[in-house]
Amino acid sequence: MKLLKVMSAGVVAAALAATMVFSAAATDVNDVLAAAKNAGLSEDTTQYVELKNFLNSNADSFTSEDFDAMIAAANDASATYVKPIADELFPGKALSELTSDELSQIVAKMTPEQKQGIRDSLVKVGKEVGVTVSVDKSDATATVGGDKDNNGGSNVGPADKVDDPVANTGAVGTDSTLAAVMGIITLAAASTGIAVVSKKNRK
Amino acid sequence: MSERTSAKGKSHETHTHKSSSSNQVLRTITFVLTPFLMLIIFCSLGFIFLSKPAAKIQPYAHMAFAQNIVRPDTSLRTVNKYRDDDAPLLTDTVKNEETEEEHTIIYPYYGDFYATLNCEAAGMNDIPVYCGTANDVLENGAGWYNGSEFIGVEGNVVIAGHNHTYFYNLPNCDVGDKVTLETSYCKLTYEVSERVVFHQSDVSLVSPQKDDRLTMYTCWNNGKLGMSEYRLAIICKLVEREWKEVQTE
Repeated sequence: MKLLKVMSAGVVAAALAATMVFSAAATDVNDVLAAAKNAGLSEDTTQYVELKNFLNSNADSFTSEDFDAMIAAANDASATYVKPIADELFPGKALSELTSDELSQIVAKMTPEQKQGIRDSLVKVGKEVGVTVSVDKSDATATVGGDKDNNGGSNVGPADKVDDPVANTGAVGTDSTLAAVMGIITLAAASTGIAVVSKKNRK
Repeated sequence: MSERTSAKGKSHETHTHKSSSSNQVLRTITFVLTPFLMLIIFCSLGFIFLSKPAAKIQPYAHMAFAQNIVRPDTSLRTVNKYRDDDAPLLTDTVKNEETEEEHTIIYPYYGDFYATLNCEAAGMNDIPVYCGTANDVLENGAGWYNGSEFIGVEGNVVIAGHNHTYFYNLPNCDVGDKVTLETSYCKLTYEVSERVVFHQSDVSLVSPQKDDRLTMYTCWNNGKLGMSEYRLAIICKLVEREWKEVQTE
């Protein structure tokens, strides 16, 4: 099954952190979420709720083995990219004790190569569990989108596409309206010009 | 007399010659100017077609004039571009930890119509709420933020809307006003408890909360329309939760 998911760079790391577990026996969504909390993804964050909504709405698509695969791949990525920075910034502090601000600091300190490594891990994990993941890179945001299947596109679940926590909710898109108004004014002026010239021509 | 006639004739000739010259000038101007005016007209029509309606008819124009007609992938998606029309129903069971009652909820697909919002005191009647807060979703109605709790689930439900369309009357909500949010599987009644202006970088109000609440927000520009770095949040406390019988087949 191919799914669509959009994440911020912070969520990428947090989602991977969320699948870091110290138990190899995670069998359902609740186990993964409990492990995520233990790994430092605070349940007071929107990232935690995003992950919870994603897993719950797609629970039927994952098997116990899928969760184990996620856990294993995330453990590798965490050990490689997250823990070294955490130990440097917050020595002696367990990952489960990290606050969301501290996790953000870790992500901010990552090099582009490290972020790419995490994205590659996400793609690899996705392939193993039947989630097709593609990433559009920007320095501040990693965007993940799904490939199309034979039916022309994946059905996008409620939390498969992650939105900005605070959306743009003001008036937008005035360019097309302005273009239309300018066009109408110019059209009226040109038509008037032709009418005047034609009238003078008749005289 | 013949001299006068001749003089008059010459004068008439001169006058006619001058009139003929000015007509020629006018015709010349016309012949030169008219193509430019026509060009301006056609360009103006082009600008007009840059507006939104053109985008909607573009697929049909393409189909009418394209040499190689390719059936679009969206042929199965007449209702919502994010899912097939016959996409399976997504359901789940939520359990009240206190009463241990179980209820069925229906997960919307991204972009699906999700709920109806009402606050009569503020003039917000039958506001459609869709799943997601992407720009294209917010064009159709208010949007449920999918990083918040599903409607009906305990916690903070967050809904956003544009200040110039569906949430135009949101600033009219006052403390004590009644707000209802109804889906196909439940109906929630809230009471407005707080009005807060916050900066867009502050995610504390859209984050999980300890209590059951509804947080609605829109851009806040000191009462004026348009984009702003600030948002007006209307926070509502849950008063009542009613569950509905859900047909899953």
